[in-house]
Amino acid sequence: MRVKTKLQTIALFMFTVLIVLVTAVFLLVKETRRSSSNMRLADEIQSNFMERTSIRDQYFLYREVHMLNRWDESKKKSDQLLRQAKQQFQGTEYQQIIELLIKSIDETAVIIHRIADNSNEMKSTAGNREILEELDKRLSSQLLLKATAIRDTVLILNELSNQSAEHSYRRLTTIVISLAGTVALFTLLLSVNLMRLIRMRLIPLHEGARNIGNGHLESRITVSGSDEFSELAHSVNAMTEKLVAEIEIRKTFEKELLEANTAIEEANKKALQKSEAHFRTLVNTIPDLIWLKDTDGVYLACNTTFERFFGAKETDILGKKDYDFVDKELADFFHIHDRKAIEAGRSTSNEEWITFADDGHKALFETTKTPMYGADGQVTGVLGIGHDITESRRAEEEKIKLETQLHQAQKMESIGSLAGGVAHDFNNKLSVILGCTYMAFTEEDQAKRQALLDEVRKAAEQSADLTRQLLTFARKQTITPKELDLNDTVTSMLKMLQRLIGENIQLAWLPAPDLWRVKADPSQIDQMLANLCVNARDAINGTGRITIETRNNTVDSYYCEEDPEAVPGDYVHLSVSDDGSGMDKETMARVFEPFFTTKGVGEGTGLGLATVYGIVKQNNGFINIYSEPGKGTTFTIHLPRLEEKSQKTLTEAKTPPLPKGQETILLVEDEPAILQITSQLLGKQGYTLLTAGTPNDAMRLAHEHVGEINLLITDVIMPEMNGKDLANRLQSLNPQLKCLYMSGYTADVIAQHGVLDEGIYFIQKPFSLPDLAVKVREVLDGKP
Amino acid sequence: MWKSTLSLLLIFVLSGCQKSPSQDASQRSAATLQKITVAYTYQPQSTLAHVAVAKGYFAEEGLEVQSLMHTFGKASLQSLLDHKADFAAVAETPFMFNVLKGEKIYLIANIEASGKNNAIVARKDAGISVAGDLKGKRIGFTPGTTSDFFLDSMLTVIGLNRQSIQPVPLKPEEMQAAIVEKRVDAVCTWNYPLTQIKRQLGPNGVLFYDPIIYTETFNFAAQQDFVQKNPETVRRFLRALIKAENFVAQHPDEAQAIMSAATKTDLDLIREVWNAFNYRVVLDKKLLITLEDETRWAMKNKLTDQTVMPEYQNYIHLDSLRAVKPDAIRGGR
Repeated sequence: MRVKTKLQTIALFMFTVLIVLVTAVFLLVKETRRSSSNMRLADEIQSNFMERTSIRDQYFLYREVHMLNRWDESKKKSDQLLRQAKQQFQGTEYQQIIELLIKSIDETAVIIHRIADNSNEMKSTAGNREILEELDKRLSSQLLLKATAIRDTVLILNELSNQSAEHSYRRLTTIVISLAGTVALFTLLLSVNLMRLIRMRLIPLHEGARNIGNGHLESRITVSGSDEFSELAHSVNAMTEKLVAEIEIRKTFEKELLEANTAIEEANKKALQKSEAHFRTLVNTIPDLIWLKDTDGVYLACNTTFERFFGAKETDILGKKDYDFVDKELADFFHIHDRKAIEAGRSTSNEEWITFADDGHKALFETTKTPMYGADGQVTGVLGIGHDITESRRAEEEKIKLETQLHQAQKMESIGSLAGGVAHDFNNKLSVILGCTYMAFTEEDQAKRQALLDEVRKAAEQSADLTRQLLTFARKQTITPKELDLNDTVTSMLKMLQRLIGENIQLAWLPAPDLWRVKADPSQIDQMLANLCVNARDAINGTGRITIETRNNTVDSYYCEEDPEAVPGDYVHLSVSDDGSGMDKETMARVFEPFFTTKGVGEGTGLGLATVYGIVKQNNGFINIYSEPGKGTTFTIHLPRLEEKSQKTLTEAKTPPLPKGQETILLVEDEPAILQITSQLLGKQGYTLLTAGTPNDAMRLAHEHVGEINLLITDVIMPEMNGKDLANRLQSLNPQLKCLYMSGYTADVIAQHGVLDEGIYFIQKPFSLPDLAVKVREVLDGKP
Repeated sequence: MWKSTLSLLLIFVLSGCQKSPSQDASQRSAATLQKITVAYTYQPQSTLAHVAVAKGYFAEEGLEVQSLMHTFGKASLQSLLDHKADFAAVAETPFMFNVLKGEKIYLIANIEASGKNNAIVARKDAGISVAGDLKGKRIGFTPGTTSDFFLDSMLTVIGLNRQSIQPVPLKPEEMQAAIVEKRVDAVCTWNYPLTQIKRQLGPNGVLFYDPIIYTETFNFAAQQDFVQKNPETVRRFLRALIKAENFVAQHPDEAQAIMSAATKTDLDLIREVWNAFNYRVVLDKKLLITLEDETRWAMKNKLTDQTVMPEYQNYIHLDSLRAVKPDAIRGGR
């Protein structure tokens, strides 16, 4: 029989047996419960009877009505219990017993009530008392007799129900034990059968399979019978035969695969060699120097250009170091930069002049060194690429030189634009000065002569403004930021700007009321205005209008999101608008680039707006352009608002009278007129003056003067010695000596810095007495 | 494997079953039959004895019964006292009187009980329609029997006593003729004569009884000496009666037929009165109560010289019945 059939049969048989036994257990449990319930009910019926017996006896003692009532109540309970029993108990015998009980108890009820009635009659009747007493005894006897019968019957009921319950329990126990025994027996038999199956059938199969598994592919499993085990044995045998065939096929395939792999490797090798040759050609063709060194500086590879540098073939270079080809100083230089790249962990660049060993020519190389890493992340060496920048460097230097020249040309262009008007004005002023001076010499009246001298002074001051403006455009003046009211600055420039843009263009000026103050160099404001106005003029073809406007403006963070150069804060804005040709977006994007111009050759330098941009940034401001082609352009300069505190200080500073002093001042000026007038001005303020026309005179005076000299006021550029050197020499003699520099039209050492250095005092020539008095006092009261 | 499995399973199943009852051990071979004489009556109270004889239950118990028939129990007991019978069927009243007389007898089993077997049947033409009409009338009764005790009980229920009527002593077999011939106005008796008289009187007859005032018992008695010397005989005798008891319970029709044949009594009459009787082989307390009650009555009415209540427990033999049917002993000592 097949194992599967056996197992199915066993399972079916066991299942059937278990179902039968479990059903029997179920039914017996049910019966046991019913028997237990019957037993409890029988107990209750017995208890009820005993209770009624007790009540009856008590009644017989005292013949009290309430005891009779209790007896009746107990009888009702009895009726109820017996009705329940009649429904619950099954079997003829039980039913007969219950019927008998019902009948007997009903009879006792009749008897006890007749006893009660008779007892009542005895109480009321005297004549028949003897008979009534006899009847009482007779009835009582019958009641007792019936009660005995009832008690016996109740006991029978109880015994029967107890026996029934006990019997049910015994049967249940027997069946449960039988069930357990059956399960155990089946388990035992099944185990024995399984062990037999394993020993007789499975183990031979296992041993045969293991033999094949150990590589004895020629062996086969021998199992008799026609069950699953024999089928399995046949299957394993068939698998073994198939496996042997498969192995043969695989061996053939592996041989073919090996041949194919060899062919592929050959092809790959050739392709690699070809690729390497290409790569070598590529590296050698590049005009740059290319080389590889390990971390010890030993060359691993290099290209043809590099061979020229060292004057050796690559085969001679590999395995050697820089020290084998160049002098120690250069080799050290190379080594240091190799180490820098390795330590930085990234590419580093340096420039170096090198001399090619093959032909001896020199060239400037920008060398980039990059650390190389192995698969383990460790540095394995340095890749070097040197690019010849000799020519590009020369071109760059040439470009800078040309830029400088063009820059200056732009300035000269601006000066040229101004020259006509300025010369005219200057001549007018000179005419006024000459005329008034002449009249002053001849005028005897003191008051009139004073008035003429006032005119001379005014004309001289106006002339000084003109020269200052010219210097602004020459951009050689020093920059001295100071607190400004832009409205005043612009107003003072209007006349010159009008001349700059010509008569065909209308200049509109819209100053804002209560304009905040700014701190800036007025000359830079002038320069920006001039450049912007010239730009606007050039954008207007023929007639047009240029509008200059000032306004207070607060820039918030939202604005700054739109303009990345802006910083939140209060600003004074200065705009120059024209109704000219306007610009497209591409032009606008480039207008601040140096040398970018839309003008024709010789018409502009391309530096005007770049200059404006530089000045604005120098003053911590920013600039916007608004323009559309054909609709004009507006440049808006934003300069930071000056704090009110400073403004107040400035206002207060203006209020007091001109400061005076009694210190000794050494005044050095090679221009006698300036020397004289300056000496007189300072003398009026109470100072003691030592005057010198040359630095040597000054040195001499300083040596000869017995008392202390507190301040040196000196021109910067002088024939023998510049002011800076003079100051240094005198201060070496007198460290407490303070110094105030004066400067006129020419360039000087200080101006090269663009702004005044901290601690160096300077006053622009020409200057007024108030300016000079304030400045001298400031220097004397300050630190040396 | 399956054979062994099935065998073991069968063993398990069989081991879970109770053993079947063994064969009746009381079967005896005919060669060992013991002869006994049993005195009993033609009355329905002796049904179990008739059935036991007719069904051969005594023989099954190894007893060969010689029947000694009487018309009523008092006579039956007398034959026992006269050593003419080994066992006698008798109601409790004659047994009580004989105990009071000092007879050494045992009551070994109660075989019948009834509350409806005794009654007074009267002639209407004697002016008796209701129970109260019995006052001053001539009423026949059998002294020393249940008739004697029942008559007093009924009179008490009616509110009369023996002095209120004219009692006429009669044997049971004399009753019918006496009332038919109007020598008495009524008779107090038992079945079958009771029902026969009522039938004979027809519409002129009227029946007075009270089912709760008296419970008659019919019993088997034996000499104490006999019982002590023949315990096995007594047990066999009782086993036969128990078999009859079971037969009567299970086959009442057959039992009625047996009675009709054995007593030459009309089957219809037997059936008419059949339900008035309860045929059980027991020994219970009611016997003791009834005996003491009747003894008190007998003493009160000077029917005996005894004035001390006998210890009736000493006259009721429980051991034999307990041996053969333990649960038949109820409320005993």
